[in-house]
Amino acid sequence: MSIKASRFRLNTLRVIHETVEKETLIIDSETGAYYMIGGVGSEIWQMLTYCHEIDDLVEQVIQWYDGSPATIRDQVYRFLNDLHDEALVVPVEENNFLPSNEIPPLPKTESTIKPTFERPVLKKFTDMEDLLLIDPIHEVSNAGWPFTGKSSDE
Amino acid sequence: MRVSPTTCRPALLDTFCNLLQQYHVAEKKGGRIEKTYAIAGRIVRLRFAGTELVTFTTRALEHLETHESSHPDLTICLCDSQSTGISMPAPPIPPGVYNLGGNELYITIRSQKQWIEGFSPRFHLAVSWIADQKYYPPYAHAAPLRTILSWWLKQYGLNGLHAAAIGTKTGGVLLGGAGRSGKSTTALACLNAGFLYLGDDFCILDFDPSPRVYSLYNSGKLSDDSRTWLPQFESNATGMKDDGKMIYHLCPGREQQMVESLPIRAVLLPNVTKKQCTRLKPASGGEALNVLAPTTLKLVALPAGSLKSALGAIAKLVRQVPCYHLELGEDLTEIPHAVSLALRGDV
Repeated sequence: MSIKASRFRLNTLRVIHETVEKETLIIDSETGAYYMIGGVGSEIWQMLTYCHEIDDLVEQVIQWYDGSPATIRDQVYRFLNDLHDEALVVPVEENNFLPSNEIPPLPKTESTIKPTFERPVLKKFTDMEDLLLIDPIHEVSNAGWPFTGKSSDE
Repeated sequence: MRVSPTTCRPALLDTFCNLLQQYHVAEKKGGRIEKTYAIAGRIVRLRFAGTELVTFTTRALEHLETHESSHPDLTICLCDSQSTGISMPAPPIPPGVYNLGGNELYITIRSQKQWIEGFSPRFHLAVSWIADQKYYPPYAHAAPLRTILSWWLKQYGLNGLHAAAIGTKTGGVLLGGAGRSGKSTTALACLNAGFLYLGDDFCILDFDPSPRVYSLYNSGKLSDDSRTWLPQFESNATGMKDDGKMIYHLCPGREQQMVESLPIRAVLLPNVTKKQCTRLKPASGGEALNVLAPTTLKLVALPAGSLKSALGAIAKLVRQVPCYHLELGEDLTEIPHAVSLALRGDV
């Protein structure tokens, strides 16, 4: 598994997220879908906050966890592709990321015992999506909300 | 009807102004009734055109009624077309939830229910108009004005939370979980055992700076199974059901156990098991976040900016207090003891 972009960033225009104790909850405010990521996936998500090079990010996970480097590399790439497919992350264009001296270094592991690598999984839930479709929230700016359809009351 | 980008903003403002104008016509005809409540340390005044909606709207808020006469932080005008004989102004925009200018005006139009609600933060003023009281959805019996109050609370950095809250004089616990996880049964079992009560489904979260919960509704809900375990509440049954559960208004009757607010000592995540015993198990803050946040954000339509702060508040809560799984056994009499242990941190 390979990946085309060299860096990803969180799609902050539509994604709202919080991480507590290696559990990340992500809400796509455009669709109402929400996602849960635990363990290594949550750590990857936090690293994506700073647009690290994907290859560096993968190497970091290999350093942190016990497992075959080839397997870890493949699973992390798959996970990143899942995030991208769901539009939770977007590729960062060249020359459009923080200067390298402003990107914090990737955190070092504090334990000498490496935990076993477990495949990062993106769990998706759409029950809120359905509610948003019933009760869509229209953000109206001073320029107006561009509704052009027909009213159901017509 | 077609709404263009250039007419949408005026259309929303017109909708709100027309509701207010028509409300005054209805009030003149039906008479004005006012009730005042202390909600999360603020004053909310309900102003009714006629008597029709008074009992329906105020039963769940009765424990918070005050005779405070100071200027209210929010006035909500309530009206129905059927009893007043005044027609609801037809909104010139399609059904939906509208948030104008980030924080200028909120409008909800539910055409099937013939129900419109609007809230202007700037003028501390809201209107709720329904064609006929019978169109209110079942949840509104237990949690009247939930949408308007949730929008209003955001103005003060407070958040509505889908959770039950109970406790003792020293502090409270929040019970989080989706429907049928056991939080209502736990809350009412503890109320029956003498605990203080702040709500079984929707409370207000604040930080002062440590986490604090405020009561909003004195209602409770029980499934038929739980009703057989807790028959003590049958005199408080409303006869209305929401999602198959009987709705109770616990005032009058339980006023002594109602409390306006408590500091939060723990978050409990109940789940019904087939085991005999009830027991507590530590939960991570992340697990609590994953339980509390989706159910809360599903309950109230919030614009994206408010979603972010609501999620942030829940994350802040679960980082600050211990969280536990509350595995509910078949013997409901064990529940209050388990909650007491969590309150004391004796797990």
